[in-house]
Amino acid sequence: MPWLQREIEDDRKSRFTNLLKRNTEVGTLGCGLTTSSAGWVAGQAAKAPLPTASPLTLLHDLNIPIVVVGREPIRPEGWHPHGALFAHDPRFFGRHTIGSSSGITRTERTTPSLRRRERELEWRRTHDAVLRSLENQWVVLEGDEIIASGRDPVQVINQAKSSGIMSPYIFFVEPKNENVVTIGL
Amino acid sequence: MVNVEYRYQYEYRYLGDERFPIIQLTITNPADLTQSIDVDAYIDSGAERSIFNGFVIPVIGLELLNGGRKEYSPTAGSAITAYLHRVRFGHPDLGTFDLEVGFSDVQLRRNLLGRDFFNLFQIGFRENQLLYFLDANP
Repeated sequence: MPWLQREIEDDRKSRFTNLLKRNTEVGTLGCGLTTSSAGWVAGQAAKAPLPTASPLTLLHDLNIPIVVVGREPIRPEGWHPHGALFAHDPRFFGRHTIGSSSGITRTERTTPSLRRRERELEWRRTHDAVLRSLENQWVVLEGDEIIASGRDPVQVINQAKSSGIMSPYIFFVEPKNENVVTIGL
Repeated sequence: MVNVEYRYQYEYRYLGDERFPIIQLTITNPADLTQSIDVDAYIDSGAERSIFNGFVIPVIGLELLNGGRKEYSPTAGSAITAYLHRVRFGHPDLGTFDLEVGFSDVQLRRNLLGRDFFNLFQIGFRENQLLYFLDANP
């Protein structure tokens, strides 16, 4: 679903609206509250308590859907760290849902893309000393980061997948022996 | 004189100080495209058929022993038992293709792409330049 991926990327690129900046366009009630002429729901804002819990808990309590991409939740535009929550950005609420529970809407890419792994290959070329310390082990590498390593490849892969890696790149670090020539297997 | 044209050229990949004709492939469960891993595969013209590590199968959501059993016999040493599974391979240049390959019941250091893979693509080697070439037209 490429349209979904574009939405996720657009959402990631969006920036928090500086509440004070937006407040210059509408009447300010102080304490970060505004009137609704710019599309804000003033009543909702007035009722929202000051955030003592985490933002996600607050959004959940207000039954406001949250878009979660990978491991990082995306906070809605208008969130002010010192004031009440402002929500009702139609762009934010116009998300397409794949699955939801407890008010949290999860979106995710469904198929892996085909990657060249150039960064990983370059890392392998330039980090021989690190690889020597991992001889006879399986390694999952993502970019420049070793995600998991060990002697059990299934365990290593599962560890990588639980870290959010959709299609882990795994390889075996063969021991170096100048007196040995490997043919086939 | 025979002329051959290839669309793609790749350098042999470094493993330590050595360089090998290795290609990175995504292996996907054809029945569940969300299940995949990325692996190295050595291009081996000496292998009649491709063989991959058996652990690939369960991590893409398949049962290893459900495949047809096949013995892979090296030029020396004991035969390796593998189970045939049709999986989807993917590469940014070659696209995706389904191929039935053997998945071993023992751990292998290397995955090998054999002549079954060669049957799908045109492959050339220039060992002196540490290059290999591929074209989707077999």
